[in-house]
Amino acid sequence: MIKKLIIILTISVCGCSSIPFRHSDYLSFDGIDPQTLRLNFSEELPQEFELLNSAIFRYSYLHFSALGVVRVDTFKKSLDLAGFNHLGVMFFELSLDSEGKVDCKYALPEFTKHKDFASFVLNDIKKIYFDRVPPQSAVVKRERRKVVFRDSLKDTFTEYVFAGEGRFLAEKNYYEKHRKVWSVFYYEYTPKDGKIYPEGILLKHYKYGYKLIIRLKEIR
Amino acid sequence: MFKKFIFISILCLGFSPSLGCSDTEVTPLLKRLEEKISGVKTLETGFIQEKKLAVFNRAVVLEGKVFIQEPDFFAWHTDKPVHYIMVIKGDIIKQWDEDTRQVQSLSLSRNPALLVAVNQMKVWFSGKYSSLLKDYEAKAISSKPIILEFTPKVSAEAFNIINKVRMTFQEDERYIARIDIEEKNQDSTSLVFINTKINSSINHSAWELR
Repeated sequence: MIKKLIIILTISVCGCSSIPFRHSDYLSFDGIDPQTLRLNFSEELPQEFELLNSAIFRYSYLHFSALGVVRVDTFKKSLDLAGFNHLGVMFFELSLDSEGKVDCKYALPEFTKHKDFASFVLNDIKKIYFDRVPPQSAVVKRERRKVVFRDSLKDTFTEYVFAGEGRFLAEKNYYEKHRKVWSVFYYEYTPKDGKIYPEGILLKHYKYGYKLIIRLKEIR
Repeated sequence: MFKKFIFISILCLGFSPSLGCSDTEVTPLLKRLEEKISGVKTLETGFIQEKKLAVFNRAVVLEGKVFIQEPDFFAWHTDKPVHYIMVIKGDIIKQWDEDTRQVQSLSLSRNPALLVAVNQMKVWFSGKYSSLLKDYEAKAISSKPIILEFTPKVSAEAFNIINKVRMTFQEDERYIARIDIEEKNQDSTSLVFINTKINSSINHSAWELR
């Protein structure tokens, strides 16, 4: 069912290209306390923000590109999201309220053929923008150029990997029964008004085999 | 092809239902505009599209250029926020964007949703305005410049979505200066055309994808 939706999403066809982001440097974590790292990162993340992004949804050799406006409240856990093509034609407008209620305000018929479309899209946006700070109880594994926090819950766990030029969150990996289900990679954090925003984001869903590549265009 | 430009413009605004004019007083004006538009063989114009969504703080602004050359060329170039080029020739749409850096070819006839929208616009812009009176009320709210306002009738599909559409024509009445759409959910879109050149030669690069 999800695969059908993925194919619907990738209406357009063309070849693949490689991931366009990279970390410019991998700094040493010698002498850095993981809890301080976690707290500092938490303070640098914006709680409420609105962004204009460009996005490519890629599945096998298919891809679908769009522009998106997203408003996120990480405290209330609410989201508003609108997707357009490059002509400005709206594909969809979705929201998620603080109680987890999904509202599909508008979507082109191609998308609404699949009843779970809104939840599918919003779940990916949640993976990207929510829960970017590991809990204090997470188990810490230190390496020379990265620190990994592991938060376990029954058969699942989430890894938060801090690495790269700013020693910020570089990866979030979610596992079920020790199998990696999805990862979000964050690149090239940029500051604005005392907060930081990743300019490049890559979501890889290993189970369903798709990628979502997001480039930050405006912090609004 | 100019008709195609008009419906593409409307598509860009996310406005797909067909329009109509029910006000008999405005019919001669519509016919006059249609005649003038039919004299346009090439068009090159800048555009600024501003889409205000009630739920977001700021409008989404797209800037770029549109090129039309009769009988069969149409190009849409977006410079901001992303470089993007779309060229339509006949049934084939080719597009390129700076993120994928790849040229993509699509058949208009094999994209049912796009085709439906295009066909709706073809009806609207076929020039047979009288055949469209069933869906919209039309009135001229200004004569200099000409501003036409279209309001969907209760029976029209667009009635639940759109409050009104305003089309403002430039002084010589040969082309549109701006289109404004007000939706019922408080969203609105405007498309303003700037530095418009009519019937001047268009550089070949306008039809090239990188």
